[in-house]
Amino acid sequence: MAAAAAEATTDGGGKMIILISADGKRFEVTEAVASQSQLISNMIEDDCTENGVRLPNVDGDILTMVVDYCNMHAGDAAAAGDTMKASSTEEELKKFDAELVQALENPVLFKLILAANFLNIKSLLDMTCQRVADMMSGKTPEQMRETFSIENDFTPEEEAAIRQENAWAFDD
Amino acid sequence: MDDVTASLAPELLSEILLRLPPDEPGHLFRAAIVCKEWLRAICDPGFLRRYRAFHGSPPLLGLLHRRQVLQGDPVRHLARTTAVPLFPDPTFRRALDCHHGRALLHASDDGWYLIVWDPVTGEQHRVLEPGIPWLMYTAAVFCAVSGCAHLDCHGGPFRVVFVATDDEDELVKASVYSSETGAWSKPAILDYGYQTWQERLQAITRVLVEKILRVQPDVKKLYLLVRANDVESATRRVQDEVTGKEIFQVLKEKHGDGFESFVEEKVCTLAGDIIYENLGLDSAKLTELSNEIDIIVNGAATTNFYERYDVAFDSNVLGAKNICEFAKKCTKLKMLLHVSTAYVAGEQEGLILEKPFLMGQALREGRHLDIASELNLIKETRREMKASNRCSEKTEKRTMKELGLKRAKHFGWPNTYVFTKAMGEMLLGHLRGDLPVVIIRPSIITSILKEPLPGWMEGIRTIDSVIIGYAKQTLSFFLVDLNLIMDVIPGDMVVNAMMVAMAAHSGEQAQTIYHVTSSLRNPAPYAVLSDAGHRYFFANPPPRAGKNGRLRRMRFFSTVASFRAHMAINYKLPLEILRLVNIALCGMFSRRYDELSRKYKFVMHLVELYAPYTLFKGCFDDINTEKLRITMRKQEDKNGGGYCFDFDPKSIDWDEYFYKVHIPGVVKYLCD
Repeated sequence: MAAAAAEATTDGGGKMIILISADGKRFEVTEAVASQSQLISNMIEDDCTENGVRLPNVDGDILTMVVDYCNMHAGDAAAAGDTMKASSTEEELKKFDAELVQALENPVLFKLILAANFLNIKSLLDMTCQRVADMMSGKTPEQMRETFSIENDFTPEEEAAIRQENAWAFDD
Repeated sequence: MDDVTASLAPELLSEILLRLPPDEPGHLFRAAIVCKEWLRAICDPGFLRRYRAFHGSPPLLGLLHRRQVLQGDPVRHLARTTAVPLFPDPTFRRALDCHHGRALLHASDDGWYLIVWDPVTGEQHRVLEPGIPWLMYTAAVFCAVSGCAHLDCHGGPFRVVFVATDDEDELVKASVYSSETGAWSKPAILDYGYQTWQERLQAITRVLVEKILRVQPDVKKLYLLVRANDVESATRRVQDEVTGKEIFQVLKEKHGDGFESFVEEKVCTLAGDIIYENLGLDSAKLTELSNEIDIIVNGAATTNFYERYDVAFDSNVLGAKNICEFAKKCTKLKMLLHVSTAYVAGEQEGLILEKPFLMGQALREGRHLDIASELNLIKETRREMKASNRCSEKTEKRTMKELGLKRAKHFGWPNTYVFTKAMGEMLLGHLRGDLPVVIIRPSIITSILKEPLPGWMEGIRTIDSVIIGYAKQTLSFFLVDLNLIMDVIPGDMVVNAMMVAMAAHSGEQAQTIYHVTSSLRNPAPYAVLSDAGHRYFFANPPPRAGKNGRLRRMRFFSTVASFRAHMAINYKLPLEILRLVNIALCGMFSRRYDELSRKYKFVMHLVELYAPYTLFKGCFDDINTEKLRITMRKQEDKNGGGYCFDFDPKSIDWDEYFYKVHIPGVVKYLCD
């Protein structure tokens, strides 16, 4: 997917936008695809995408995922426009979304959340955050710490106090 | 990367925590103990507010059932739906209310008392009863902190309102308990008897009479049977209560000075009563009528939910029988139209069909309803009371009221009114032979939508006391379960349906039932009324409007100890609100004590009056009515006329109706 800038080929007549990741990889996407990011959508409105959009805090591999996601979802966002992707069915989308986040290692997932937040892609942010929340639910605090590599900074007394007070939430 | 979440900005951490499912509160508690940053994020008041907003209504922690059991002790029942401990589980007889994080329970050991219970903190207050004798009663508990947003009112002062029908002297009394003073207020009387109300002719009759006189010149004569001793006083009543009303304005303008003579020519008043055989008419009059009348409309009824059994039985059961027998004598009769109520269906849930009652059919399975033995029971009870000389009039009244309620519940109906109306329908179906009968079952009738006078609603009082309360600023705000559907139907649509049904079924030998309702075709959620009310009173502030603004307190929690209490913010309604009190208020009860008690009384009165309606979870099917509409439309299209008999609730824009018609109507006609 990571490709050098090709000559702007227009598929549905829309303008092409070039996204440049932190490590210099370039992605060419249609306006419809790119404007799912509120950030880029605003830039398009302000006409400052001429020389490509630099995204200094998104790595190439993360941006690959984001672009894949946006390509896949361009159908429902701009259903009125092009039919280039023969608008994926809802089921396909769900499957795609599930597969996208399912296999990710935590660090990658968090980077994806950061990217979704930075680019302001609401549906992607929603999905990725939900994925993390799902990973949390049903876990004990210890398991959560382990899953997310978090150091416990409570003193044993503090922790014991909270646990004792809310014992019901902690018996397993 | 070691600590991956460290790279997440706090707002992204909360973005994730926000999505922890609310149905099991344990998730948040466990997440909070992972590390200090997470605890801070979860305890942040802003987060808790967002959490509530994100997940909508708070999760259910448990259910309090208030099943009524007819014999023996009620089953007390508290069902938990999450791991959250609802502690300690008090012993109680009946759950009464659930508000602002507290449950109100009715319990007894040596005597009766109330328990105010905070299921989250476990706090329990025992409150003695206010000393109002009760048969039908209800109570509610509210937070009493001024300006409280009720996101966190655990442990604060509260008030309890207790309302009961003190049927010894036919009054509804209420008292308010304050946890600050630890005392009940002097019982206040809310209602000096609804007896006068039932004496009035039903409002729907007036609308019908007006419409017939206005649009049906073919109708030669309208006979109005009025309960009175003689024709003179009957005629006076018709002038006072029917033709003298503002709703006849259009007709008056049309006829000018000739209005009186027009009415005299068309309307003939009869003094009588449907509770008597031959309607209390003498034989000469009877013969005259039986040769003249071709359509009979029976709109007479005792509509008091809690009427004496004998009185309700006379008018709603025997009345139907007498009308039916009279109808059979009418040689030219084309149809008998009987006005019932959609709520004869009792408290059924789901789709309720337009089905006739079979003779002897009870709502409660396994019971057989024998109308004759009910009549005997009434007579027997009367005789017994006469026999024992000690029986005062008061006791008699009370006994009869209790009997009605007891019998209604025994057979599965919620009150005496709908129970006797159902029996009336049964008798009618049973006795009619091949008499053409149409039964109209309207739901809650509201003010007129279009003709002749939008918003007119004198005598139609159902959902409106709430609006009156707002207009007079005795209630600053009201809130029901906004998702609940109220089945309302404007009065003129009911009359239109009646008239179209009359025309459609003339001369048929069948019995047809029509639900004139809206819940299926065009449901009106309470939210629409509430929104419309808001906007209306915002645009047209009531004269005594006070300051309505509330300030929310901002709070910051820095200690672990306060954490637990504030977690409850997310779960402030730990139990399902008991449906009975859904109509009750939220949030605004926060002024001075006596002022409060006045408002409480008012609200609780509404609750008592309309419980059978607000409780209702069914939905009325109206296939028959829809068929009638289709037929009517075809005919009107043929005639090229406008729909002057519109009764399609789909055509109603509820929001517009409430905003432009109903609420102004209430303010105009009922606020005096």
